[in-house]
Amino acid sequence: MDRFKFVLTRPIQLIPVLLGVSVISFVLVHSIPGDPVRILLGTRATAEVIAKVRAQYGLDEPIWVQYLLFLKNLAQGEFGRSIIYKTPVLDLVGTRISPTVFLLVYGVLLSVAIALPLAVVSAARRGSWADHAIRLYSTVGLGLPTFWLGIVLLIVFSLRLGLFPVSGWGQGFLGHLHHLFLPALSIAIALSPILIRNLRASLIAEMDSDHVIAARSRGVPQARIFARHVLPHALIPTVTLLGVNIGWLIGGTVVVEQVFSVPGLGSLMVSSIFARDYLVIQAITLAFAAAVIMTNFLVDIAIVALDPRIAL
Amino acid sequence: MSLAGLSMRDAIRRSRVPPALWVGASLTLFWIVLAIGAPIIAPYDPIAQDLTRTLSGPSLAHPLGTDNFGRDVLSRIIWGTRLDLAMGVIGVAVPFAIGCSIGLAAGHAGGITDMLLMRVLDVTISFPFLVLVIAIVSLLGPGLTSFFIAVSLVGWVSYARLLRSQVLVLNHRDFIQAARALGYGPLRIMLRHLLPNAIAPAIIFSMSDIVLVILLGSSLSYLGLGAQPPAAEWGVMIAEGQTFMASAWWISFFPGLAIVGIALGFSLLGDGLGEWLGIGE
Amino acid sequence: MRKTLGRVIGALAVTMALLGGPWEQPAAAQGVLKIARHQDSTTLDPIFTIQNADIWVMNNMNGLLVRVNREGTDVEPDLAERWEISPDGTTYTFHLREGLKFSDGSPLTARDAKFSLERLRDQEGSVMASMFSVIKSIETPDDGTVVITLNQPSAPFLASLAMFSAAVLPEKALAAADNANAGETGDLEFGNNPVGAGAFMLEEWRRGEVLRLKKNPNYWEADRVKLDGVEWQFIPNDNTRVLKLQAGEVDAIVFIPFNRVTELQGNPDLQVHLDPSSREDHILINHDHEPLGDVRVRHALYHAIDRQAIVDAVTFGHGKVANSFVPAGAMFYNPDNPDYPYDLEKAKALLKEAGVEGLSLRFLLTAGDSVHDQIGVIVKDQLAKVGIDVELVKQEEGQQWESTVAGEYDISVNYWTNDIIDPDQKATFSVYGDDENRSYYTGYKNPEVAKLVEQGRVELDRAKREDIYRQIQEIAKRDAHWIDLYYSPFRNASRKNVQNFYQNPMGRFMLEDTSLQ
Repeated sequence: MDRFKFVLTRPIQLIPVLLGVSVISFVLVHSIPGDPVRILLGTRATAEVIAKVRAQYGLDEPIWVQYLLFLKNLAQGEFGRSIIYKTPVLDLVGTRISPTVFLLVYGVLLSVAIALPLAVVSAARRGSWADHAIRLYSTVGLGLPTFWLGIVLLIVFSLRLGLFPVSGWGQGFLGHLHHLFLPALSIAIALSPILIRNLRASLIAEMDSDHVIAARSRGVPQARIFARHVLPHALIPTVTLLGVNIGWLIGGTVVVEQVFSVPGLGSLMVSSIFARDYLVIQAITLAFAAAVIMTNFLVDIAIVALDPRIAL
Repeated sequence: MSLAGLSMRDAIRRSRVPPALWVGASLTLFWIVLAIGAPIIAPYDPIAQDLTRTLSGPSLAHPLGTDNFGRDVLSRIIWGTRLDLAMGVIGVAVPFAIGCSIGLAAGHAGGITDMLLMRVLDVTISFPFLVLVIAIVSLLGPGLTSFFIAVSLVGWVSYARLLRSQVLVLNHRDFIQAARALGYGPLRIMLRHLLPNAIAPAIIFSMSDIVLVILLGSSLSYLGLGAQPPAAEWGVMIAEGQTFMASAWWISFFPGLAIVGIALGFSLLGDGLGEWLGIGE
Repeated sequence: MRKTLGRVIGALAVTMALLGGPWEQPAAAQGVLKIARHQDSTTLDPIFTIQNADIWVMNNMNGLLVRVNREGTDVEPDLAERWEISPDGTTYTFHLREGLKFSDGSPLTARDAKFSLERLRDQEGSVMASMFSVIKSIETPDDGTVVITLNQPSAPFLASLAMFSAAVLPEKALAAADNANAGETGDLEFGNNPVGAGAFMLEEWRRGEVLRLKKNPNYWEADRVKLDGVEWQFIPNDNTRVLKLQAGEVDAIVFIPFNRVTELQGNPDLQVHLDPSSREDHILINHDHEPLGDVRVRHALYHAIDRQAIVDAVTFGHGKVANSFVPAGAMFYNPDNPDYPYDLEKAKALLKEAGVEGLSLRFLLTAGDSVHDQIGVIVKDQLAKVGIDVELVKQEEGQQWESTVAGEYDISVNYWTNDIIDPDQKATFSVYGDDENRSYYTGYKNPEVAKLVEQGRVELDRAKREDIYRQIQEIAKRDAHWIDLYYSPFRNASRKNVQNFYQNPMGRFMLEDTSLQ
């Protein structure tokens, strides 16, 4: 019951954390030297024009006034306008969020697809050559730089074999699947070793646990034990790990987006920071923070769902 | 992460050294020797350009080939060990110290202090790291200093969490209760009783953290935010060689392997240590 | 259940890897030219931008009264088929072509031209407004005639009208957009839904990804346009852009790194286009920071820097040492401009004469720009030989501009590409020395040059003007107002089947003539 309460209070905690994040990023980004209007209009624009455009965007106000204005707009569901693209921030972020979410989910699913069978084989045949090979992969894979892997995959599969497009994100669901396969695979190869190591350890612990041994002695079939007892319990720490790593994963996605020129939030964030497009950075920062918090929230729910003891 | 309260000394006395630890330690030692001995071991100057032998493939004179400026890739990798190793070690040592102190204090003090620290931790975890790095890089100028500051601002979180959870368990143990009953000061309890018994998981985590920090550092260099050319840093080398990947693959390929190699050393070291001390992942 | 899901995905991945191509939807219609570029457009409203990425696209979307010719040497008729200039040079009468239409099918009249130019001059936030403040009034005696009266004669006026900012846009659409947004952010809607009178019109713009144009059937020269459309893809990574071209995913790419030129020239599927540009790279010198105000010290810098070495290293031999701030081949360029040979002894002597010892300079560079990195390292190395210590200060581009404008630098790498064919704009910005630009923030001011710039602006006799600008170039060079580094070509590449892919020296892509085979 306690656990449920904890799960339910999570969304309420969202607000102070997001406020904290928004204050920090606002102050931090505004303190970077460089003026967005100057960056936009270059050195040929006169000081008069620059001043006028700055005033249009309220950039001539003191920073705390700008922040309060931002909060006021936010309360009305308004994120303001992008200085660079001159379009509502929400529209901009809206169009760029899909490739990132698609890539993240795709990457995680691929990681799970790689990690799950490998961890099961490795745990079930402890000490075999397969186990050793999988453990080697999970140790070496841990140190693979995603950007480097991405480049290698690009050269081999796109340029030499021509199997996948070099960049972009395609059209339609199948187009996305096809275009984002190599980026997702880069993420999966980086993420799966972490999952394998964790899942293997907890599978082994679970297989040696008392209730599994008891079930085995009662003559319950192996497969049934595995599906009903071992796997669900062993998945709990893995799911938690996935949740904890979501922040790290989002960071990794930014790099992968750069390598494969995926038009996602990560590349928008990088270009917005370079252009000092304050309100866009603010929105993306909040979106990422909310994603981290919500993922952890979903992970909590998933754990409740996976563990019958808590669900009861 | 169980077995809290088990003193490190006990664990070391009990078990024999696992092979992963041996291999990991030797590999790590290899990279350290390479870093220290770079001036002696490296056959060429890592930043000296020789425009007469650009983009030449692996050969006897240049076992790993040369890059577009005619610089010897092997020498650059050897010198790069210094930067990348320093990146990993400093980038973990500072957050380690900060995080352990905070976690210890939060776990021991409890109450409002604990709650406040945990909220700070929530904000830190949710804050997109890249925004922080780019902001700091823009404020201080690109380079490793900015990287270290950014990593320190964020990296402490994991250690604080680890230490705090250990301390929360230890708080209920008899010997801590006894120490409190005896009226020992909080500093003495924290340093003499809690720290030695709570730090092992943090040490083990720090090994894989070094791997993550090296990967992060080289990624940032790759994005142009970390070490700056012409520095012989592996991420920089991969970025510089990326353009020639199709024609001169060795420029980017070998630095990538070096990253994998150094990561392997620390991963095995961490695994081995964990096994030795009886602390799982 | 999760396990099954995993299996399904695993199988999918394998299938996909095996199938490859067939997953792709059929390629877009024939005759759409796909170009990958390193920047994304920001707006398509010509008065609110000065970004190359916007200008390149708008050049092919908008009609002008007059436009720059293919060679970038003169103006030619566009929407106006002919014009007269009054003998005193203050009244310009333009006669529009018959039956002009905008891309939305609405008629284009003299009123639209009047409205567009007045908006360019008056609208708050109009970037290039100052170049058009010379316009006193605009009359439209009938739908086909535009009469522009100037405050004073202006030699560069016609060239200015050929600039992207002076596009003729529909009054109706602009006024509607302006009214809808009257208030804080001004008229920004038009920039997202533009209507123009150029060769192509906007089909779709997915920011950060792709900007699609389709052929404008109402374009007055529609018969000349061979492409069905143009697709500008935004691919920021230099390497990815080249890979996309090699893999045939795009037909052309812009801005290839110099170090890839030779390699790509060797690829039989590709053609590399090194089209002459009006770009000139230079090192700004801050005259307000002593002892750089001393002309002998500036001369010493010139003599101490081996510019040929920089050109060779940076442009791989594709650039040329610059001898004037006016680009080679541009209007009134002086090929015989004096120059400073690489001469260390002379540099040392000059420094000694000026009594300068132990000079230390802050060299401002753009962080992450490999060309700047190279120039920085070479200059540092070379100046060390005459006892000048150089501290490389790398700042991100936005920050570097701030520092430049604020004069917080000793020397700094910079470049300029001409917006108009006339040298007046660059001369005004670079050597005139007004309080606003302070000769591109160098603080250079020579009354003799300033007077000549003013004369050149109002002198209508071409030969006399040429003489004036040659003098300006000579004096500025003698004063070493900055260090001219090199002229370099535009560097683009395309697949072999692309015909007539060409960028004129102003940076305009002549896509009206481009075709796919």
